Amino acid sequence: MREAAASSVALRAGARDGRRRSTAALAWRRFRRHRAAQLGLGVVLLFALLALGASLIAPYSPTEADLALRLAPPSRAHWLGMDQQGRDLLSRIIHGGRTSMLIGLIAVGVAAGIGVPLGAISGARGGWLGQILMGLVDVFLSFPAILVAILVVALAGPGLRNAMIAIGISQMPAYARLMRAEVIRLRAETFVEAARALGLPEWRILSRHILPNAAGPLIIQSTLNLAGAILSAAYLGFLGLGAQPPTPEWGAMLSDGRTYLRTAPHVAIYPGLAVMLVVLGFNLFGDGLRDALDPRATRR
Amino acid sequence: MKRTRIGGSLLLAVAAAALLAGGPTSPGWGAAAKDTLVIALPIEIPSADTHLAIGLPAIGMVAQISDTLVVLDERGRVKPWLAESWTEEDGGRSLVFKIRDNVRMHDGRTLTAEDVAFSLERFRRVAIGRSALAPVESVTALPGNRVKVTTRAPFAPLLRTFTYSSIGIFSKAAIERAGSDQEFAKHPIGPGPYRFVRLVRGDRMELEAFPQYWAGRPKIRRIVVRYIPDMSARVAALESGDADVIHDFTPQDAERIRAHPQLTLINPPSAGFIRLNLNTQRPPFNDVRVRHAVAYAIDRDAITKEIFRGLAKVARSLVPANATGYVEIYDVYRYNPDRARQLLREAGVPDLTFTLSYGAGRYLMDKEVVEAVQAQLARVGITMRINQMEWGQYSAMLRLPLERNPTQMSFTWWRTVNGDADSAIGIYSRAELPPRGNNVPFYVSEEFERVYAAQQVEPDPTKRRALIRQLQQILMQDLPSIPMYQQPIFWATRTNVVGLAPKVTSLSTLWPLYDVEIR
Amino acid sequence: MRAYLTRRLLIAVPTLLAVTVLIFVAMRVIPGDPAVLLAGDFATPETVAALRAKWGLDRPLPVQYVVFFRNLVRGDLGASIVSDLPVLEEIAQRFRVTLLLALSAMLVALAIGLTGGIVAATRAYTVWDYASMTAALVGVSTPIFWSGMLLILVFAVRLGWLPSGGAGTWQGYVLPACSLGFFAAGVIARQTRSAMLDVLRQDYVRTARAKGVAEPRVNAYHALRNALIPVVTIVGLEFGRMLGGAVLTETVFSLPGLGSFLIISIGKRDYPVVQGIVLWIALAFVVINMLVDILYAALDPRIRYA
Repeated sequence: MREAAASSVALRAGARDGRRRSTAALAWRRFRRHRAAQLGLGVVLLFALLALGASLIAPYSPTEADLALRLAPPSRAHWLGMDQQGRDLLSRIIHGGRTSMLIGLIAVGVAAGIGVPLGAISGARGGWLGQILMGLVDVFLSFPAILVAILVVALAGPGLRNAMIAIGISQMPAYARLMRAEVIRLRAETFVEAARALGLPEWRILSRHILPNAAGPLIIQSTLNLAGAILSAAYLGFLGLGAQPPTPEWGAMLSDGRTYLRTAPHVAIYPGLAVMLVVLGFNLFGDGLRDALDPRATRR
Repeated sequence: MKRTRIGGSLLLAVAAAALLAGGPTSPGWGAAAKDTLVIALPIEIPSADTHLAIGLPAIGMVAQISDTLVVLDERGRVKPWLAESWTEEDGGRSLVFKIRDNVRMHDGRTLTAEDVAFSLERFRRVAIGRSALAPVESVTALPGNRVKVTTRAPFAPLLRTFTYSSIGIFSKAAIERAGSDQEFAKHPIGPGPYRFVRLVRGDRMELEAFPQYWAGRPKIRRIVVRYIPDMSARVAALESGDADVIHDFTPQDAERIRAHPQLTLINPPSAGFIRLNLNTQRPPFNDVRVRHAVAYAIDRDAITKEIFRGLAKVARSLVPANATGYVEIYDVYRYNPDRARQLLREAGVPDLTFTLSYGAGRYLMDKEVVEAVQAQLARVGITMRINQMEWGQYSAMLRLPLERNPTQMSFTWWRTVNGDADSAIGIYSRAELPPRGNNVPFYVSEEFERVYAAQQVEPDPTKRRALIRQLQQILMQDLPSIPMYQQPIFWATRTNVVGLAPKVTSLSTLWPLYDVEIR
Repeated sequence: MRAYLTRRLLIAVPTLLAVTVLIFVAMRVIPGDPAVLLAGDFATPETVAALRAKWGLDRPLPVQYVVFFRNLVRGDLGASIVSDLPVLEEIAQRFRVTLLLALSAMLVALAIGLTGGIVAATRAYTVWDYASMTAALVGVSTPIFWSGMLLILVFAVRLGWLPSGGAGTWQGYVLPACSLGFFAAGVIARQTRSAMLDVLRQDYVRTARAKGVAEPRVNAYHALRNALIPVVTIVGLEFGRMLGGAVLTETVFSLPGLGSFLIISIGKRDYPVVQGIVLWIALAFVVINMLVDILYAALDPRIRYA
């Protein structure tokens, strides 16, 4: 059974190389049929639009404060109510999206950008090099994120860019471990064995056969990390990394609202909902993307 | 399975709805027996030995094991305690305490002058806060159960220093038997109303009533001091009955507790105050007009009224309000944005821009306050950037020498050591310039130095008080720091806890727990 | 496999060594002086200097490291700057709490995550699938201080069934284990679903089906074992993270675990404690990741380590 399957997969694998353009077309067609993915993309685009056009769309200034209206509940004039400084919460959420989504995306990009190649090499090469790379990952795993952040402030100074790097560094090991596991798992698969039997070079097997199949766990990890990055930005803010007041940012808004969970829950609930919606959007989109790219789902 | 997950979310949603709808509060999980008082603190107790412990509320709890020579009464006057009387000798350089006879300690021994002298010497040797007794030259036990404390020069605030709860008295024999300070700290023995049972680091300390306490048998049998770091969790513990007494929560929670029929809010007079320090040696704050402008542009009344819900008072001098000699009359900086703009124009900086640094999350409502200040300053055209810092990094930066110190404005809390204005105001002297001390505004004034030196040796209390007023006047005119508000202290109890009355001491608030009962 | 294990163990030594050096240097590079932080505002420079001398912080860095390393080899991690107690004793006390929390939370996470993921995958693209995915995402993007506080308000304040926190009783672990477990369950469920879907589509499963092997058996034997590889990776990572302490959960439920101890110790620049905890976490990760690697081979016999 195995041999038969292997040859059929090898044939397909070989054949796919020859018709890459139609693969892209196929993926696009599949994506268009994936309604949940489109919904996800829609949500993401909506938030992106809100963030980019914030100054036009937001009803009030995100920084203008009126202490007398502090923690005022939602009203007709202020749909989502006022925050702890007496600022319009809706306007702050609209403006805050820019910083928060930027932090989330870039941090995840940094983490995946370092972690995925690291894991791929470690998984593919095995031996001493693979072990040493995994030792490195263990070192990073055990290094406390807060210490990374304090170090970054001390050495590179405060700032949004450094915050993204700090979060990226602390999220990196998960990608390396996951990617390595996928490489190890997939290398034992028949279609990879077959590809190797056909004499395809290692990097080509990695990029063409393993990476697309490993996309699933990586995409899931990324959407979950996106939430983590947005939430941890608040913590970094307290260490001087990241957005400083009065710049609105969802993570900080959520954590500031923590104090008022009992007395003025709207202050924390709405930024929390914003984070949740964006993460949900990215997740649905990611799922659709994965299904569309899935090399084995051709017949679906 | 999916059903369970959805069930879980549903349950949460229903629960949330139930919460919002309100309803009766439960009596609490495993409600503690009525003879045990559970106190929840925001800081952990690092050591049960007052000489080694740090953190004010923690020392207040540990001090139940030891006891002090003197205490302050409700009106802030020194009152006899383990010492039944005292006299001044050697022209004000010495204090001789007569120790109360027949004070029993937890090891069954009777307290002697030897124990007292030994404890004071130990404090001077090992205590983190030993600088409180820095002016002391010698401590000797005298016959007749008396102890003599001599200072190098007359030191007016000395007597008050002995009300400081960390200067606890322990059993000399027990300390010697333990072999080392660390060993003794694991099982401290003193004459206090409660004896030590156990300390689980990071979690709890347990104490037990000492029936032979000299001032009477404590009414509660057991005290458990729990460490609950999260503010909301502390309030929840009080509401659920898991804790009988809690300390430190937001003004919003304070309002809620005050309105709650089963809970009592205690808001004792503040012991310290928050100030904004301006670097007086560097532009833009080397110009006194700019310092005044900032003071006029900050609406401190709005901050205490809105952010602190009226539960904090505006600080109107650069000594804490509980310090002897505090006067408000020199604070002329009522909110006046027009005056601020005018001063800025005169100083030639109509578009003033600077950075405030602070250790975020250290003090109650600190983030809200600095953000409110930022918004208020923006209204007169001042751009204040906020630089939040990790506490360790922040405190290291404040102590850098002027050449390397980038601080423009900082946010700090301050207090006295012994209730005397001297120890609070001393940081504005040249001797306290960083890296040596806490003169973080780098304030240097000949006039201040002169008056400050004069008050330290002035034996006449009335004349000394006048000098201290003069110091406050100088500071409020030069304004190296802007006094913001008296930091409120919030405690709350369940209403069945009776007799927990704050005793305002010099340094913090002390809770004589031996008088407390649960009804 | 034997060659692999030998190599792995040999690499573990320099890995841990690298961790000790890095953490040692990192703690001393960041601004903040333990003496100043401990001695407080009123401390004189003399007090501060005396404290630094007492802890040996006045000596050159390389000398300090050599002293630290020499003691480490003898199994002595030094004494905490804050409490003066042996670091090992301090860590052991907190680790008991952390271990209990990690085990119970992992149990919750696995029970919910695995079953949820499997069911979602076998009924992919149905209402159930979307609903459980949404629940998982809500779990992941809800801050623990939120969900934790909600649990406290309901079960401790309103109903009075469980304590609001504290490590004194086993009941004290129920809410934190759920709170922390739900979070990890979201991650595990998502990975399980995805991996299961991947595997279910693979050729040999199709072949098995074509050969008439009953559906449940296909699921159980072939698909699950393969699917478990990325799941095991994630479980290993999450468990390692939990063994290093769950700061937020510990804080909300007042549990004296390793996580909050580490944060407090970093804040107070308690060098020996931070060094000890981080070394401990590194050890935990090295062991767990090694076990995870062995598990890969056990799950899929085709996997060979070169």
